[in-house]
Amino acid sequence: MKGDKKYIVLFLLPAALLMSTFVYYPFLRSVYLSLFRTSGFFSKTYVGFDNYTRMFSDDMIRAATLHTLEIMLYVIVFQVGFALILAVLVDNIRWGKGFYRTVFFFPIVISGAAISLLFVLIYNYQFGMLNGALAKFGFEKILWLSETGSLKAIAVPTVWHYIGFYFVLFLTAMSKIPSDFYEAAKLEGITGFKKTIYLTIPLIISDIKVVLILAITGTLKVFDFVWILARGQNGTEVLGTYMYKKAIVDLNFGYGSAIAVYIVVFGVLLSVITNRLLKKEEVTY
Amino acid sequence: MQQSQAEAPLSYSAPRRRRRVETGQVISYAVLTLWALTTIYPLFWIVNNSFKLSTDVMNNSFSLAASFDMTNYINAFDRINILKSYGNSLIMSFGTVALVLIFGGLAAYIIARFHFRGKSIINSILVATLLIPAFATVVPVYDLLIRWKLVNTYWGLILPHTAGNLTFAILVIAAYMSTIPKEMEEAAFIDGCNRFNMFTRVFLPMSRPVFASASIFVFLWSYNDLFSALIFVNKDSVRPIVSLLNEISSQYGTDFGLMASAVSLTVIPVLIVYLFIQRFIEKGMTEGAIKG
Amino acid sequence: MIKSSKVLIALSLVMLMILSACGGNNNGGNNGNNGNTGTTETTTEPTETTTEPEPEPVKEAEPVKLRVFSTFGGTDPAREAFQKVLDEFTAAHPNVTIDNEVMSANDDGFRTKVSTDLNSGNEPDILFYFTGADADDMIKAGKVVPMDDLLAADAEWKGGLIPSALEAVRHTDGKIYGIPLTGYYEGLFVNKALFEKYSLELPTDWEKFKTAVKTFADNGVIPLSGPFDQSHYIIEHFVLGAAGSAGQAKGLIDGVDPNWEKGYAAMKEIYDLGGFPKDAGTIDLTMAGNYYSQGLAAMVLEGSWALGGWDQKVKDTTTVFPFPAIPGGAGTGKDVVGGFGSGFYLSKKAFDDAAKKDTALALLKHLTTPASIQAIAQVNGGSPAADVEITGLPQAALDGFKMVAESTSINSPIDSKVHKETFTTLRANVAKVVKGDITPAEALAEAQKVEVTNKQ
Repeated sequence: MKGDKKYIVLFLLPAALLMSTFVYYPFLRSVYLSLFRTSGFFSKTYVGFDNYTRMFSDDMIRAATLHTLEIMLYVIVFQVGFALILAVLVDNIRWGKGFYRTVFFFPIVISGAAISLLFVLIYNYQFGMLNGALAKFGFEKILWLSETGSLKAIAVPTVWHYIGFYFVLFLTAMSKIPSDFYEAAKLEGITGFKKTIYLTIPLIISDIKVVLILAITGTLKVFDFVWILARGQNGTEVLGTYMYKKAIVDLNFGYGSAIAVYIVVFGVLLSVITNRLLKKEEVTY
Repeated sequence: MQQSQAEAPLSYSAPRRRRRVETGQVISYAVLTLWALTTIYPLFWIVNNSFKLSTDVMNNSFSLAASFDMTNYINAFDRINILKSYGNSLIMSFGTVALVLIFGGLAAYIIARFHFRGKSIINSILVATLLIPAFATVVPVYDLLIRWKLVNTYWGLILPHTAGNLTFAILVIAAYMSTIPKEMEEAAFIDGCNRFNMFTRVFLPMSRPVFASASIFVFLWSYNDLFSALIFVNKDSVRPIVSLLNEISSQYGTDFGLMASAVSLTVIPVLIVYLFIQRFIEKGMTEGAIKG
Repeated sequence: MIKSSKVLIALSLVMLMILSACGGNNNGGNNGNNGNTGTTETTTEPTETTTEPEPEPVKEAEPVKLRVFSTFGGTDPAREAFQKVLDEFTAAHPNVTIDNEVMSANDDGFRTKVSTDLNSGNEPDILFYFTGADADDMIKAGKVVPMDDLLAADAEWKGGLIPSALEAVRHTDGKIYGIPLTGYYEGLFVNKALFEKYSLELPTDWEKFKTAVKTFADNGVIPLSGPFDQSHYIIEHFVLGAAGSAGQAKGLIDGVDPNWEKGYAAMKEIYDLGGFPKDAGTIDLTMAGNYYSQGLAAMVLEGSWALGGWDQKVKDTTTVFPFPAIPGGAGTGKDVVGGFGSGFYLSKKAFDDAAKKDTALALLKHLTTPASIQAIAQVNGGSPAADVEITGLPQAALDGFKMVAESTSINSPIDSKVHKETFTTLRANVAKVVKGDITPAEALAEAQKVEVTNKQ
């Protein structure tokens, strides 16, 4: 269309300006800082790519990456998967949609830190809910946040907390499917499970893609649950907590920034792969 | 909504199928209700424990509060000017939501409906943006705010939050807009709409559900962000209610009862806002269905 | 250092003197002082009026806004007392408004905020912050004012502070920057009732400590509550118990003292006896403290501030010991970690600002008068940096003061001597050592390497 260029620039400009100022510029400064050894408040020595070479020999980075990937797997399979199922179910029921939409949203309203404290009291070895129940039935107490089980135990609240988020996104996406599509399908005899697979999912594929990207990028930043439930101990250190430890706790902003750069690069790679795997023509109705 | 219309003729013509649908519905309700229990219980747990003392929370957090002990609430009210903080929270979070929806909506429209060089690059950058940890930008942002004298002002939180949430909003809104039928656009173009009018008259109303969904999440993230609030707006006159959560932790240990009351106090407004926005989501959904 | 034997009469006398001193303050600025602050207001006004291009009619005093940044917030027991001390000042100086900004010190954002504030020229006028290695950067950068001359110029102010407390905060460059408020000590807090229940001797030496650990472990009581990640106090005490005062003070920069390795080996010994909570790997300091205060654990390594957070019942049954000397090491069994770990700093920026200088200094002095120090110490259980009596303290607190008084050395903690990242490495290696993944020697060598890299 004529004059489109003007609108493209005009419409993108405010967002671009704000994001450049408060996200990109600060991040570029972090990238710049990653070339320094910072220590404490003021001292800073240029070290070239030392922080990056350090990263390659840092066992903790490797472990944190693997732990992050493990959580990501749970998130994609259980969080996104279950959210989709719930959304399909709610989309198909006759009454009570509003009720479920409201209550499924409850966990997200409560901040991650607060949910973590709830799970502290569920998992706690001494007086937690689970061990309390075991003791009542005469069983031996179990160390839920053990060296081998901690990551899985932490994945449970992580997955559960945000199912409602993807659920709402899916439901929103489904709402745009014109009802005549479904009516036509009905006439063809396509209902229930088949309808979901052949109609609903293909029609919201672009939204599913976005959800997957959000899930992948979100997992790379997982922090609260790991930090509060296990402080990154017992094989739970993830990239989010490790970066935090280095930059904020140790005040080694140089190395922390290098980890942040790694998180971004790694995440972009994963998203590119996801996009390739889901490559399909965008549909418009 | 669309189902009930569609199913009506079906039940006349195929009574056998109707029974199968009913079984499906029963299973659906069973699964949904089960899940609803897991989402309702924690909220109940928190409110319940907010009436207990810390020791009781630790040792009997899953029993019913024996009495409505208001100690924690009195304590919480004593620590922070609750009403003022609610006000601050609402101003800053609604401010953020408004800016994100306006700027994000415009940008999403371009990304969803225009073809231009560099579009795929912008898309990649947007994804990359989602990955930037907040801890990696907090220091330079704080530095900027100090220089522009925005620390301890409403803008000091609104601007970083807006920038931080734009990416999410753009991606989600663009995904939604990209599937709106081309004919709508063409019809509007023939009617003599320019691009801006087309945005406000066609895309905005049709995307109401996604705007509503995005707004609730943006509101939530902005509202719950304790880390930025502590650093950017840490002063009585501007600090948001979420700061209350910091007021209850210290080196002397976490008072779980006080914690629960503080969480309850912070959660209430979000629930109200959600119920309010939910109406828009529903309204948008029905309207969208009719138009489709 | 602490005179717990003072009689009530002497105390009320002191109180009376302090109260009257306060009254004097309220009436006429700081009349009683030897000059510096006494002349504050009278000298300020003429200078102000001469610098103003258009001298306005001289008011009572120019409005001054001061920003104070401290950790007296949240559930800090001294929160209200501190606000009261500030209110006293603004009541006496109606022209002054104080921005009382607080952030909990255990919030990791605290250091980030202070660091960025200082870096961006947004420093508070008065900052309550750690002394020791933590303050190194801001002192080197000249962000805070050395207090020696100011203290010397005001005999009353200086006289109100205990000389040893001032010495304790003297920086490595020989100057005093942060004015101390209350001191702390760390020690082995012991639940006497549990020791009685299992007819155990109190853990005054290593063998008794080990016997207690074994007995408690066999009976399902957590012997020593402590987390492996936030293992600050575990490290402090095991290293001090093994390396002694001189060995501990060396830090890690010049290599690893073999006695440090004995400290880490002792952690493993205690772990193998079942000495730590089963979930020590994942709990935090708060939860470790909860185990003790709920009576699930018999002992906990903590700081004096922990007392402030415990119920009366817990306080009553608690006493405190220095951590026993570890056999084969250089500890005396009476070495204590403690001191004055933080203080009020006056920023250079406020000091160089003619409009603020005197008021900021006056506020600093007010915050560190014996009366103010007493008010804070009264509630937070710390030892006051002024010669004042604290009343109504639980026996456990008195035991703590006695422990400090009888100690052979008072040591600042390791994390005030080594780099943050080094200390994190030390912490991270606790779990690995006790579980046998690495040897104490390997653990310390790694930390030493980090220390050298960071201090190059």
